[in-house]
Amino acid sequence: MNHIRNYHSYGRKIDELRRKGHIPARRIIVTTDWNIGKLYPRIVITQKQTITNLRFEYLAALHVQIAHFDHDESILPELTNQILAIQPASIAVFNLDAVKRGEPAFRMISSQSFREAA
Amino acid sequence: MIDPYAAIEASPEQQAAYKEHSTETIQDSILRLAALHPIEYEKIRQTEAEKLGISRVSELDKAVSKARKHTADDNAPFPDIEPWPEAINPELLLDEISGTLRRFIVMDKYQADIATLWLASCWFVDVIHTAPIALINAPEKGCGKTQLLTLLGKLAPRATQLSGISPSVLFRMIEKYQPTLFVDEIETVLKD
Repeated sequence: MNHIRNYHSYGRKIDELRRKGHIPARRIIVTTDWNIGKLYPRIVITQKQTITNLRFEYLAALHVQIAHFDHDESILPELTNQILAIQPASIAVFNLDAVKRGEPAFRMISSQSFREAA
Repeated sequence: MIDPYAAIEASPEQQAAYKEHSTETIQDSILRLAALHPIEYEKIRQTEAEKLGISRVSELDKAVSKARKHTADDNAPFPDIEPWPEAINPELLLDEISGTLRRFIVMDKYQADIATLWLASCWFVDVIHTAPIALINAPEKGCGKTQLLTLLGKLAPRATQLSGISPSVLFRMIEKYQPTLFVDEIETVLKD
């Protein structure tokens, strides 16, 4: 039986581009906050959403950055696993609260070029 | 302003990766195939049937033909708006719409908020008892009344901007589509 997955906010827009053989020109921001990444192609995931019910296949072979706050930390493992499963070109995590604290905020989780170099 | 969704051509590798992971349903595929030119469809029908696990291509032909007919029958002049799959935050949505109105029209915040609430009421017209009329007025010409009308028309359900329409056409249109009517210069229409 098929497991029906939903698009998250703006996901359909990116999927439509990919069906036409196009990709967004800029890195895709996956965010948990409606106010983050408005200038980028983005998909917004809220804490209420079940990550495993969402579609991510249109992120395949694209560069993806998850921008989140401390309070969203709990959804990160599942979210990164789901996105990694469709093999993005790279996936990085950026913690906006860490920036405010002056701590390292950027973490590269996986990158195709790193994998090829290794 | 930068369009965040500005697109470039995907590389063959990127497209292949997408196709490998794409979870297009059979219904999605049939709709996609129905939208193709018949000759384009003819070229790929065999491959598509195999991809979908349909042993007889004629079955796919039938489904595509049915979908084409359905698309032609459903020739309504309005896009089919699909509800958002998840619950939304109404406060944020309304704020965003109000903000959008003020990006294009010089107006006070309370005016944009009223226009936003009127727009929201248009989407609930099936469940409300009284539908308010939005009368856009201004002290002089060139204040952006038509601009606001056009903008509201982009955000309302089944929006129809009218000018010089006969009463019979108007009546039949309301019967058939229950549109949100936007009438510019209504004083000229109602002069009699």
